[in-house]
Amino acid sequence: MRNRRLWLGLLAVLALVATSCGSSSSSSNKTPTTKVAKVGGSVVAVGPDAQSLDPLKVINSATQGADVLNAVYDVLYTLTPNTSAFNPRIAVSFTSTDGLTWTLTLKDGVKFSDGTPLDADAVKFNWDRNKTNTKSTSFGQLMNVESFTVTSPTVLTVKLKTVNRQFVQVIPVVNLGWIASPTAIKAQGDTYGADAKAVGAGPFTVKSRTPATETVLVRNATYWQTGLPKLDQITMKAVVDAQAATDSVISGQAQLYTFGLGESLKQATDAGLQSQVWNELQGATSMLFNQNKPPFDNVKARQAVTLALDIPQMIDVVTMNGETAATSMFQQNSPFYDAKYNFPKSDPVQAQKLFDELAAANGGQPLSFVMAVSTNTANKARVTQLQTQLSKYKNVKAELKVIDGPQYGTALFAGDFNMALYAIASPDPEPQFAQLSSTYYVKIADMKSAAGDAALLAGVQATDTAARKVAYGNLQQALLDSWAEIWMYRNITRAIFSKNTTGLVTYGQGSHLFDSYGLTE
Amino acid sequence: MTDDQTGVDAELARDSHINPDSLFAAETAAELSPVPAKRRRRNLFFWAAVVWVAVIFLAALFADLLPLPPYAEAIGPPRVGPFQQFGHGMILGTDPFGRSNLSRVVYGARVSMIIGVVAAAVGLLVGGAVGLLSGYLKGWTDRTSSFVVDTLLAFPPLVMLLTITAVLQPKVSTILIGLSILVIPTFVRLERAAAMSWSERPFVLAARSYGTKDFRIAVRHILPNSVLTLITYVPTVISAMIVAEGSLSFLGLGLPSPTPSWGGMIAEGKSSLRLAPSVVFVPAAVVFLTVLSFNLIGEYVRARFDKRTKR
Repeated sequence: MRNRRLWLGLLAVLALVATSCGSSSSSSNKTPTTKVAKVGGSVVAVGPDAQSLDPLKVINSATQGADVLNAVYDVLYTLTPNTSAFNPRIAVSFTSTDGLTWTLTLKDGVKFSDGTPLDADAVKFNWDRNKTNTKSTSFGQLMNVESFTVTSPTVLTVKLKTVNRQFVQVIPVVNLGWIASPTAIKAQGDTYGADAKAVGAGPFTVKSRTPATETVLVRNATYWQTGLPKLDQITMKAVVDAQAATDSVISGQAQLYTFGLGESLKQATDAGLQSQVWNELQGATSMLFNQNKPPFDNVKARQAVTLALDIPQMIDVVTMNGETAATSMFQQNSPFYDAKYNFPKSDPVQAQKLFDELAAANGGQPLSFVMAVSTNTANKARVTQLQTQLSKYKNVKAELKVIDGPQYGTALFAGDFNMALYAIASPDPEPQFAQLSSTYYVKIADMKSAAGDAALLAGVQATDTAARKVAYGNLQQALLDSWAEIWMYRNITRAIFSKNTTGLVTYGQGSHLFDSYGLTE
Repeated sequence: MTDDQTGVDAELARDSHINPDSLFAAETAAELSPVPAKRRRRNLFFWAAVVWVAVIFLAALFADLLPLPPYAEAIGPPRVGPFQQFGHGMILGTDPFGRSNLSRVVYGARVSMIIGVVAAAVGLLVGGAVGLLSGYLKGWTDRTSSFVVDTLLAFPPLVMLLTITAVLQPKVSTILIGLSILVIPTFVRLERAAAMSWSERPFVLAARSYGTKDFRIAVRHILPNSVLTLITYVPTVISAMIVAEGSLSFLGLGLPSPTPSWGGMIAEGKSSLRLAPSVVFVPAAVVFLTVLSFNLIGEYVRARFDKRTKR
């Protein structure tokens, strides 16, 4: 149980970090050029490294090094944001008529690079592994699964415990789109993913790997898409510092940086490089209130802090307009957007009045709390700016607690915080918005709102978009009523790349596919 | 000290009219007199350093009385360079959050001075005492302390500091403990070597032969000779502690915001370095000048008082 909790905590922090560094305004999922990549050549990509090549252990986001796994495993399918149109890849469909029984149909004849078939048995093996292993980053997403049944070599049936008509949204957002060779996993056991012996059916195979340093990927000669990948080799170098990574692309030492900040984008544009922005996620990075203990068990305290903070000003100061403020739960291009649920604007006068009332009711003591943040430089700057904003008010005292890496997730999971930075974002409300529910297995972002729980349940059970819009309208109203969280800025994934490359595709929570990526003629 | 020993001392002094202390004084004078101290020119740099350190000390001491804006509040736009605006507290510009660099540098000086001075003082007292006992008594005392000191010196200092601040809550007392542990071994080594050297001198041997007890010899004869060596090292230690605290804060393990520290200011400005280098330049310049000043003062004090460097 302790082990499971640890991993759940880790999962939470990774989810946070995965979506914590966003910015910019435009969006696209294709390189904004009509250039076509030629076959051949090699590139050097820089960015965060994956902690393992085992899909079980990795969160599907560029900031978690997911790109190397996309190159090795490809992905079963992707969904177009907002329309949820199904884009087949290794899987040709994933459908359900009742929201309880889902049918995954695979492309016939796809093989892993070790020659074994990527069939329904392989998917079942991988998904069963995630369902039964508490270390899986998708363990919680599969808790509603009753069983996986292979009905033919290309068809897998998924039986759910309760109706979820949006289960299709789960796979490309988490690690379940990556299917590894069961033969390789069985042969390597627990060490699978630790070295260069990972086996997938993606466009590249692993030639060599030094964790946290460099992974060399070479063309998979048996890749299922004819004529792809374009490149002969990608060398992925682990560079954590955003500035160092940006500089390496600007200087020509690397051709691609998979996860840049808004500032990286600006510098890249100034240097004449190309960039790609994935601003397709609903939700935002927020400051959570811990309602389970004082002072934020009091709604008036939550309301006071929410009204005191000026998020656009924080964005302006800290990132120099490198972020997009979240003025509502959903972006305006979402079918679930409704202007009447926009978040309240900062109201310093009302905030001060509430702080004074709270102090008066507390024997003259100011509202005191601790804001938790991870050691991530950008996140720390954001929360420091919030603290600076609060310092101009009377009767409120906010301290900052910087918590290192994995301990941050553990602290959140244990409820050891008053306010904490946390991200809830996915292209569709499902699967990530489920974290707002009091029935979710991790109690970090729980709104503690019965109306919110009902709205989330209605959202996944709704049969059409109109019904979902009603449900998510109720969800937004529940958030406004509960003052449970301060949703601050959108989570945007940016890639910057040299002028002579093209064809990068972004999907899901913000990770990249490399089969069409290559050097231009 | 037993009555017997006191009696022996007193009797020796009375009967032979020889006071061991006067032996020490005579020898010291004889030793030093043939090599008169060369008059060192107290140059402009030294006095500039003294003035700078004095200004920093006084500013840190009387920060609350100075007409400074609150260090935690934004007083203007972020990343304003120094000498661009001359409003209240704006002369050194603002940090990435619009807070006054002047206020934060002054209040940051408190942290740096407290940490530098207290850690050096603890090092001096504890390290000096252990070194004195170790160097004079030798035997198992020396072996034990040498083992502990060698172990501490072998441990990478930054790793030790990172461990301490990661395990304990980062606050002034935590950082002080870490830095004190770091400097004690150096003072032990210095004092031990000096004590060993002085303990073989004839006046000490004489004192011992007259039955003077160990404590008295150590405190009255050896310590006064060796302490100057330690004191001359103090300014250098203070400057090293300021840099160490800055390094910790830069790595994000210093004092939590909004408490200002020079290293923390540099860390907070790091991400703005390309766009507004002044955000880093202001605290970096203060650290540089302060460390340089302490080093210059340390150099002078050593030249002035450490007899080993006298020519």
